[in-house]
Amino acid sequence: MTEQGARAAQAAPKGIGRVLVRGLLALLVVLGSGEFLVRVFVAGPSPQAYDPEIGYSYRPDSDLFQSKEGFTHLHFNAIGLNDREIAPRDGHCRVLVIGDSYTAALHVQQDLNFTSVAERLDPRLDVINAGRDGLFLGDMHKVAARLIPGLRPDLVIYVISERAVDTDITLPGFEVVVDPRSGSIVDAVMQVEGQETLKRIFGPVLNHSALATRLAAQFKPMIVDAMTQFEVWRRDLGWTGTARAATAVATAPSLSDEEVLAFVFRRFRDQAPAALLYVNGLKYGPHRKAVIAATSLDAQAVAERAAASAGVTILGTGAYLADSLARTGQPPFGFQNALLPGGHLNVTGHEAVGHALVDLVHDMAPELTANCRAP
Amino acid sequence: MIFTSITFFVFFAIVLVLMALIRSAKGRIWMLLVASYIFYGNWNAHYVLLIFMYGLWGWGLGLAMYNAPTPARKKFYFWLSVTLSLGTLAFFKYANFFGENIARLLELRSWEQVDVVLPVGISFFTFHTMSYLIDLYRGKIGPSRDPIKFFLFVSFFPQLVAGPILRASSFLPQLDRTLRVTWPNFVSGAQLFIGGAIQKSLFADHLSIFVDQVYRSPEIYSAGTLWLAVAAYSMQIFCDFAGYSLMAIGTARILGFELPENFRMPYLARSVADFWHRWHISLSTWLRDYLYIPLGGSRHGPTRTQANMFITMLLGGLWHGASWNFVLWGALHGLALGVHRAWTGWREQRGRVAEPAGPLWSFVGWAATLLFCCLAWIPFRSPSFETTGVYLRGLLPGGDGIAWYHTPTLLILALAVLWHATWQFAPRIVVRLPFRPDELATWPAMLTLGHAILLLILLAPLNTQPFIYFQF
Repeated sequence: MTEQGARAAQAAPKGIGRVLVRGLLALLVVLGSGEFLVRVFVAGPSPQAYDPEIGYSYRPDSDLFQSKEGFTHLHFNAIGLNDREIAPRDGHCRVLVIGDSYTAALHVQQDLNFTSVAERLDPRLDVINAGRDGLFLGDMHKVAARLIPGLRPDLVIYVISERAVDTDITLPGFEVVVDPRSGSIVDAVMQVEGQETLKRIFGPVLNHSALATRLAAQFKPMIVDAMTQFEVWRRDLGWTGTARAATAVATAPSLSDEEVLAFVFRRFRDQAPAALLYVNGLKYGPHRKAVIAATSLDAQAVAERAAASAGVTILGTGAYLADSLARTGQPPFGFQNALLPGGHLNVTGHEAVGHALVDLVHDMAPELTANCRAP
Repeated sequence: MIFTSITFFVFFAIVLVLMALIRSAKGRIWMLLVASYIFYGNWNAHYVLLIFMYGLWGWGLGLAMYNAPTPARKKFYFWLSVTLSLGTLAFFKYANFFGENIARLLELRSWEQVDVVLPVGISFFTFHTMSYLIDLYRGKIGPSRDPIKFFLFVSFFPQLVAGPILRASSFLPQLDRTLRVTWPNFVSGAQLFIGGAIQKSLFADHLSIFVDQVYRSPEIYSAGTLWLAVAAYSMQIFCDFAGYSLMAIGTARILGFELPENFRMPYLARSVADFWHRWHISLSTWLRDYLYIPLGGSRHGPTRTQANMFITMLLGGLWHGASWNFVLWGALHGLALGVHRAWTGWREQRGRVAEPAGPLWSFVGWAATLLFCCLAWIPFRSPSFETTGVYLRGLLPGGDGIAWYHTPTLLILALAVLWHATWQFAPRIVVRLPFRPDELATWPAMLTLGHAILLLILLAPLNTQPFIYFQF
């Protein structure tokens, strides 16, 4: 035996029991350092809680740390919004903003997101950020219905983008229910995805362990694939229940995207005074120049026609974003540690969208803002 | 089937169980052959027939050539086998490239594209087959009489789609001894696999996020970002390909096979010639033995030697893909090798050592080689000649593009520098890995391997990227 081999043999435990104990201790050390490394460098425990209506929402009074895009520590308020605590109404114009990850703004500090920017630009406004990452267009009215009674906003602004127009309404979980007699849409709603129910089961672990949250994120695609496959088998083998089939009166594949969108927008309007803010994607050229991306422009045109049909004001942010790039030289999307200039709105982008939001509020309700109380 | 996918782990677990269950040597070879076809068929079931045909004509024509009654007949079988191998490769890989260029040259109407999917790894198994046939023709090896063994040589799944390129002389004899999975081989092979997976999933796949974005539209980025992407791609392609090779070697070792080393820290090379002794070694030695030497090698004077070297590198570039960008990459390396050879020859004529020693020369040689190799990757990675031009212009100072210094890329490059520095200045740390079986129960082994596996699980990108060399 070589000298090195002899040393190794000496170092090796003598009995199987000692090896097992040592292995267990090593596993604990590895898991412990994994938890530490993830918390410090990657992300904190999940702030999400299962929500039977919209899949998940942020836990009240919870915290978020993430370094995936940008680098942020955020605190969700007592009603689970990425905003400071809601003050009682005091004469400010209250604007409730509902949207997906652009609105949730988990990638910039709270005081730099576009709802905070709007408050800074017009101090008469009290803008509440009710964004949630991944919120589907078909779920936005549910969030509005939940928050409007308590918050009593003067105006609700729904922030949408190309994804909402092109993808959300074509997802398998998006159900459009049509009255077979009149042929008109009576409901358009996003079903909660099956994968979200996992949050109900694993929530307690995910809310306390960063390592478990990260592992869940890693294995989620695999789990979702398996669940999808299981659903397919269940359907093929006829195990599906009949309850849901009975609720869908009839689906009408011949409906155009515009008609479906118009229904969704009309429902927004029926809940409270509403407007739409459309976040455009950009196409970049040399010398820090950009124009609105063609696909984004096409989707915006569809949204605008639907909004006109529903009687809802819509404002595109493309010009604001392109101007911001021309003025500052900084792209409005992207982060040094993620994609640049792709991905989510960065601080520059939020500043630009904040301006657009204020202009939209002013355009939408001049008489309303005229009556707002200045601080 | 990608090594870092769950599908592969399930597949490989089944293979190991079958290796344990099947007792006869012949049965194990059969099982490995079927497993190799399943591995390939998982990508495209139709092309299993293609790889089978390669095996069939390689084996059949090899035997016919060996048993040929006359030299003329032997030559006929040889050229027939070469024509079949290269012709198939040319059809699948180069038909559109040559068609388009000939049509353009002759000012004919535009070339009608041949609608065919490029079989994954065709360049590799073509070279496997050809190395056997050429060695057999030269009388360096005897024929493989067992078709199953030969088919397995052509299609052995660990190295099937991206090498290392096998030689019949080293692989076929391994099939004549008892194949079995041993604990030392398993321990060592699994650790090599983990090392390769770290290179691929933690380094290459993360770098690709930055590199892909920059190469998609280099015109919008600043010179600093483009230089960073040059460094990032150089490391990405190394980690991707060396990672695959390491996983292939590890997988084969678990099954009881030894595959040739394919990379030896190429970015520590002190000259372009040295680089090619360290980069894709199985290809560079293949090109040397089956192209450069048959062309005349260095036997016909300096000018002819330079020409042979240039042609070899040009064709080596073309081997990577049907694009002028690859040809340009090969030509650049051919020229660099020519300059290096002329310089060393010039020194020798004056009675000096070919390559000067000393820390300053070593550093200058290393830095110049690294810079050249990194810049030469630009045409290799660019989707078109135009992009190459835009990219090279963008590297010049004075641009006003978007400055993007991707933090994970900077971190990975820093780790890569540390890794190379360790290899260069503290090799004793490196040679301690992989751990031996008797070291597995020690704290260093448990914690090192535990953290390595945890990092892989935690940080491997969610969408597994295919290996770069799959396309070749």
